[in-house]
Amino acid sequence: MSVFTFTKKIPKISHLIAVAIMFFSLSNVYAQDGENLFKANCASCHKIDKKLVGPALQGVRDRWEEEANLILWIKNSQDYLKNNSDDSYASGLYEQYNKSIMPAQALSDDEVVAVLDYIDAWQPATPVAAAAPAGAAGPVDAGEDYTFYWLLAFALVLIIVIRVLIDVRKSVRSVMVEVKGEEAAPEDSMGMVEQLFYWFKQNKKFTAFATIIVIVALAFQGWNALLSIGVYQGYEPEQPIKFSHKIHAGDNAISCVYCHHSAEKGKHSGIPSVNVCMNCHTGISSGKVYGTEEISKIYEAAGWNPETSSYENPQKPIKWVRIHNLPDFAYFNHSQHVVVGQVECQTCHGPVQEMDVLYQYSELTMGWCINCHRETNVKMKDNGYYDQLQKDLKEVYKEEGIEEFKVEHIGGLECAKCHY
Amino acid sequence: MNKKLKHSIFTLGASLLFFTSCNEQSPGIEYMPDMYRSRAVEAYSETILTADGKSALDPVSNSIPRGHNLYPYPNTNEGYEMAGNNLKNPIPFTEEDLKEGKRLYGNFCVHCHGKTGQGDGSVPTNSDYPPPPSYTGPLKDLPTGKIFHTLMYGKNLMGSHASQISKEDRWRLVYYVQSLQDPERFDTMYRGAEPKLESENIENTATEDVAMNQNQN
Repeated sequence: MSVFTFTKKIPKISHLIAVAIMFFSLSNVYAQDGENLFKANCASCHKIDKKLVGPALQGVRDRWEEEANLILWIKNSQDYLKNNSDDSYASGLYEQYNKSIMPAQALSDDEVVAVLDYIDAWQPATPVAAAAPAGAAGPVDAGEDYTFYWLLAFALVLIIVIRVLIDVRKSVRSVMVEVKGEEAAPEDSMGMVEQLFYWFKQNKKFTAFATIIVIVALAFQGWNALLSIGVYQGYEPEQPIKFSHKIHAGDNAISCVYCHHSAEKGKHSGIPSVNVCMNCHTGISSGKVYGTEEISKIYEAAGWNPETSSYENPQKPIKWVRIHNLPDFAYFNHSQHVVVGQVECQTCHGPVQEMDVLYQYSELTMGWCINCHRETNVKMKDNGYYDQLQKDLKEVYKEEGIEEFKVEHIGGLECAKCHY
Repeated sequence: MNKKLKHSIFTLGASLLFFTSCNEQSPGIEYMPDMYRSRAVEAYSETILTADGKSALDPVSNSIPRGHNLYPYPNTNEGYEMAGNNLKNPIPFTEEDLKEGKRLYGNFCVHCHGKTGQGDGSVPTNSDYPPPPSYTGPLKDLPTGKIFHTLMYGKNLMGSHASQISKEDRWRLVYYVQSLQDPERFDTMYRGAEPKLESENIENTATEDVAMNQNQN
């Protein structure tokens, strides 16, 4: 620090030279400082290679004629504009960036120079993930289940083997007949299917038993198939934008209600309007998997022009495909469950933070609702609303000795709670 | 031959049925689809009533919801300064409000600003998304009104959060953000705590001045 105070007393140009000399001699220390200072004070609005809120900073030294002016401008741009109204470059810059004011920076001249040196020395990070887009389709396809096809191929091979074995058996038998003069068996002259039925006739007990098993299994399957009518469980449609909940809610740990904010306030856990996407995506124009392809669809919907950083195009609604859908005759309110019931989103929606493509995790059938209402304790603690009710309920269920109340005890199984 | 043909048709049909039940692009068979796809316009459903099929309509322009007060400061540099000078928190301070503010912060702010407002949330640390300035750094002395104004309209890369967070909740968030800026100043401002005795007199008066300014604002 003593060196710094010493340099401050030297007149400006010689001061800069002194700083420059110091820089070369102590460049390690200062480059580090410059990086830290840049990250703490500049990085919110500036990138070195890209325009953000403010201009890209690469080559900023070359764009300014006087470095001393640049330092003044960085330290307090508004004061600089006032004092140097003839500097058309500075005022042009201010106009170009929509008159957004760069806040005054409480940095010393040396620190500003350290930042400028860091910018000069900056090299773009080597693109490690260059191969990533090639495997881009991978993560989505990897989820497909090939078991069925393998089983099918296996069954085909088995049939061929059986066929071959039967033919072998047949020819061996005919050889036996010829050589040993044995009597020909009746099945030798039959086809494969006829042979099978002949075998069934010979083993009547087994056939009856097997038939019963097959009928029961089919009935069971059929019953399940009937029950699955109208149940969307596992529904995983392709959406108009390849939005990944895993990247947003999982990797980046963004809270569910950041986007689905109405889940706490109303009946619906709303589909976020595109301005919520734009809260972050004004700054992120390229994704890790699909590059700019998917994010540009948000820009199109919002009418955002990333070149000029302004909303100048017409807006278009995004046609998301609805997955979770309760029929009209069932009333469900999100806020009731999320706020009062303090139910975690994942209880019903499953591990959404791990889903690249969203699917319906739960059945969302009435039996499923009722089951939960039978098993879940009402969170009556620290909720003044329930104080009196808890007392009354304890009185009512005195004989059963119930102290903890489930949703069914406060009317969670009554028909008209959900159907009216 | 006829038998064999029948047999193969049956197998083909059965496997087709199997395939359709496996298709995750389709919700499956629906019994009485009317009950799933209502004639009445449901939230977010497509409708024939509007030109672009969108059922979530924008409010009629220039209409104001009941009980809604207009925010008087425009989204300009001047508005920002005016809000900083004039706006004060209309919600009387309670510890519950601060607690709710903390909860809201965890939902709406933490992934960028970080747990203690250092700008080290999961989004900027995970990607090259630029980190927001630290609450204890460049934003340490940001006045009440400017914090609210920023939530209302957004600032620089931060977008407006007015559509996600109700006005009251935004004011609760302001309380929590202020507690992160400077816990001691916060105690003096809202909990009526005496400025700390061990610190020097000059610093004491400085904190008081800030507190006074804040209260006047």
